[in-house]
Amino acid sequence: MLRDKLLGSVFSKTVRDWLLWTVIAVIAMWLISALYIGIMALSGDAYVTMMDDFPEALASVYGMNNGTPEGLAMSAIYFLIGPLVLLTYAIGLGSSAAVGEEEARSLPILLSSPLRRRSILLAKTAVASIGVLVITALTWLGVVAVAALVGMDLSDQNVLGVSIQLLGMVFLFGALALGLSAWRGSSALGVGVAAGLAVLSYFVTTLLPVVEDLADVAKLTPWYLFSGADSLSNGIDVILLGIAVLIAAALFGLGVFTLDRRDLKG
Amino acid sequence: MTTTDGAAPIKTEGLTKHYKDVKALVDLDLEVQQGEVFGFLGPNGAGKTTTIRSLLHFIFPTAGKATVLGMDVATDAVEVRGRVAYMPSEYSLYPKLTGAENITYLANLRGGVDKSFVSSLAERLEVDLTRKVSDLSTGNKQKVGLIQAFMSKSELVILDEPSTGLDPLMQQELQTMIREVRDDGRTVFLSSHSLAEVERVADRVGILRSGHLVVVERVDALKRKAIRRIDLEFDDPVETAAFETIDGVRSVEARGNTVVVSFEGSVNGLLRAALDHNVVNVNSREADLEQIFLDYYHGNGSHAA
Repeated sequence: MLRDKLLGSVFSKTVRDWLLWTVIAVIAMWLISALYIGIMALSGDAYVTMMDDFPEALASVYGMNNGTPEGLAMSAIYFLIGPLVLLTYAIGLGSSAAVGEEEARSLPILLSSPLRRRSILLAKTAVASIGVLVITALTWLGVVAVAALVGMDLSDQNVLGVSIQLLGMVFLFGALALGLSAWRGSSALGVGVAAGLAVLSYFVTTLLPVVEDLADVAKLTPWYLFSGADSLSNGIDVILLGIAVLIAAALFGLGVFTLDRRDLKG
Repeated sequence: MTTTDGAAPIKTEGLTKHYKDVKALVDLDLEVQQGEVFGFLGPNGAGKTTTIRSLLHFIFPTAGKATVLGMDVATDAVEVRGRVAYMPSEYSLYPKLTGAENITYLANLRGGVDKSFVSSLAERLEVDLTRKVSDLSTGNKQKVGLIQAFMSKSELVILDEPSTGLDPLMQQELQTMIREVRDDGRTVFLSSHSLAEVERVADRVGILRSGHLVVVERVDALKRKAIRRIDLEFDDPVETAAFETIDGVRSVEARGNTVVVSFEGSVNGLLRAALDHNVVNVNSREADLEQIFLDYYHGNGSHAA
């Protein structure tokens, strides 16, 4: 029976535990993507005109916009809603991978089995990472399919490019939540700092370039590793993506290292 | 069942754990022998759970070392846990899973668990494993925890407050299960607040007070050494002075025609002094572990640190 098979290991049980969240995230992204693409296909030009009248700062916060209905739809999906959904998922599950069992007080029973702490963390991180990849891939497929359905002219490759560029930043913030949670044994710390930094870096990255002298400061935020690539127009920026992935890997390594060396709570 | 190279199931040397300024465990030297039930007693915060968590490498000792089944817990933690069964005092099962699913998951992770043995344990403990854990009472959750501890037939079973939430009948069944482990040549390390439970099943006890191990003794020997109480009833009130100077007498109290004497050691001198008067009745109370425990807890035990 599938239910029993999913209890064969930490990895498969975690798949079972987190499947619902993954399905909800995919459906949310599909619905939002369909909604934006549909609206922009029907009355995109009116929105473009409206956006042109927006103050520069407000338009900047809204996201990238190349002055077309397609650009507006992609901005909404990949620079606002997509990051929101994916970051919520990655930060939540990253933290849960590190200390979910500890805070739920199921860790003593789980660790009475011959398991290493890091094995549990690795298994859960793998599930969360696969979940992020699945949501991203299915969102891309959904966007491409809906765009084709309504006749919107999108470059499949560039949409894929922005999806992959987004992954780097999502992994970075997920790993930050994981690393901090594992270090201190506290999901509140991991989630709070990662979510706070994500929001802060979003506003810094989108608002500071409005002021010419501060434009370069915006390039120092994690968000810039995604938005600075302008992947919708230019495809993947390998250097920015590589930096994001390296930081994510370092934070994950820090999480493993500290989890192995601290007293467990409870 | 044999331990690694005949090593003690549990051995600690100078095991110490400090949390900032709190000395949770101080210089613990302890050796548990194979095939015994070792009772580990102490009031809340005495360091019992800290000891167990150190043995399983959930926490890192400030000083000292511990071996379990001959393996260093610091370097061989996973191997240790593979050969030890453990029931924590405070834990949660997975509430969305049924009891059976919880057991299946943990059995799969451990491997080598006989499903029919799990069923027989569930039958003995009278727990319905088909129900979700979130729907189970505290006692029934405890039973699921007990099943996971006993199902693997491990060489060493560590139980931390295992009878919490169990009714008297189930406590009795648990004691039978503990004795069966011992009869099988395996070892049980039983940390408990239930002094009566420890008294019934343990071969030896260790008593912790404020992180210090104050005594390790066989239960029967401990009782022999303990302060007992005898009520001597006379036909008239008698002076207590005659009893106060007798060897082993700790306290004497007159209550009407009755003299209540607390003493340790032989009762001969006391009885000889009593026979100088007309004795109507003698009521001797056997020392139970609770009184012994309290004596050590308050620092009155003859071996108390």
